[in-house]
Amino acid sequence: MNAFDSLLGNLLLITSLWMVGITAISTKLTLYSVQTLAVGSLATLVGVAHHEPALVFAGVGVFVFKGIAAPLYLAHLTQAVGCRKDIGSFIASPLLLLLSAAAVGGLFLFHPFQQSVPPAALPSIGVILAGMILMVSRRLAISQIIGFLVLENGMFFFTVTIPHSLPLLVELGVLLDIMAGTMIAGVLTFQISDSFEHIDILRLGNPRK
Amino acid sequence: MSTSTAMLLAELAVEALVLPLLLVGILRTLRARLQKRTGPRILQPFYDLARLTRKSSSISLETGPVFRTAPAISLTAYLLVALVTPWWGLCAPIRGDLILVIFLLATARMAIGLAAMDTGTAFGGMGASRESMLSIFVEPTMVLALSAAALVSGNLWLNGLAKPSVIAGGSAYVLPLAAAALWLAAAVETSRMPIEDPVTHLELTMIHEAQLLEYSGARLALLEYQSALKLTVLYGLVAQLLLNELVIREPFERWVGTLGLILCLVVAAAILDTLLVRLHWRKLPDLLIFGLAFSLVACLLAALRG
Repeated sequence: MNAFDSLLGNLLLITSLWMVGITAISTKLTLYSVQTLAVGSLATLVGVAHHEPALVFAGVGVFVFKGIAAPLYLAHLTQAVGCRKDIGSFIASPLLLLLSAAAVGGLFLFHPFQQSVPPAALPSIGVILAGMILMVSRRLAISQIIGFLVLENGMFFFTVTIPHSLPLLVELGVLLDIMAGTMIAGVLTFQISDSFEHIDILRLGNPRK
Repeated sequence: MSTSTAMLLAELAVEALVLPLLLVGILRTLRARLQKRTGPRILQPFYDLARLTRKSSSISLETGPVFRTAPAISLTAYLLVALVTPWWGLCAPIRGDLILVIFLLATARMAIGLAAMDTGTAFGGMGASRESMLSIFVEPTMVLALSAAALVSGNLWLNGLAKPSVIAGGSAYVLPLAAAALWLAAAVETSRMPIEDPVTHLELTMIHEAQLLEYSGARLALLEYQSALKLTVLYGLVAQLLLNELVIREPFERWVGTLGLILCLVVAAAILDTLLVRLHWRKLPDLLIFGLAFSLVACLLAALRG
């Protein structure tokens, strides 16, 4: 892992933690777009450097679809549904930001599972952690989708930086999965908001309400 | 004392006396122009200070010595901060570590807060209470941001910030993050827009200004100069963190770079003052927590890097 990789890993980690602390959906999408574009360009560069056409392909795919198309589509969704901010999270987001910073700090300092996780992989594990926190803490469906995408960014960054010879089909499969997931989630969100006129998952418990 | 040290001290004295008021003047004029007002002259703070110094000071009979001495104490604390930190791009004449700087800043805040409560007015007490609540966020942010810088530069002496040769090969976001956190803390300390309206006349919404309501004359002049010095020194420290990321080695280049960056920060402050609205008091922690989190992450990354 070279210096550039670790710089990018830190950028990913910082943007992910930043996203945990904010409630405005558009800002979250911008940050997500920035980190995805960074990951996509890194994958393309690594692919070019190692003469792996599949990785170049995957990198360009991430750059175009996940970095540009998905955020634009989600922004359009946000506009259409008319929710600009998280209507609430299970823990207040400032507190959550500090807790997740502390959790990532603990991860870095104590470094559990040293046999299976190399030190260079710690930033991506941190991003995955932040993505999970984003997913479980928000009540708004769109925020949970963004959390899922951040988590996936962490996984993709992990596979790109650690072993350069990992079966790339898997990565492409993950990429396709994510695109499908985004679309389906979007359609579902739309449906839900059409039929229930809100996308607050807490209020989905009792459909008769 | 050698000639070079004397030269350095003289230069620092000139810079610490002239630059703060000039920056405040630029900030006010620029903000007025951005809001399509003519605004005051750039040199207006100098005239204001001269006018205030000539005026007599009226002091309530209810106040004690705390109220009378607080402006001098807080100004002295900030002058000492200006003497021990390399805020102007060159090494400070007196060696001081970051704990000392935090202590001095806290001393200044405590003196003003006590003086505000000494007057016994409702607004003074309210301002002191709000200021001390904000300091819960500001102080750890400053400690952590400066600690991150200290971890990167390898020693607790803040003068290390003015010697970038020890920082090789970038800081992996540590310094930009610390700078962002310190900038946020500086915005609180200097009562800038998202936190507090610096030109408000409504006492109910004041935070820092509410503590100074009872002051007049020469004491108010001291406090005005102190707040200008505070702005300059804090922006100077932010500029040092950013300059170290760029690794500029030549002392003269650093000095020019610092001046330029401080000016950029002042312009940014004027623009933000124009664009932003004051946040609700209860929403402030949502914003200030970012300073804390950024400086915490900066510290972690710095610890990992070393």
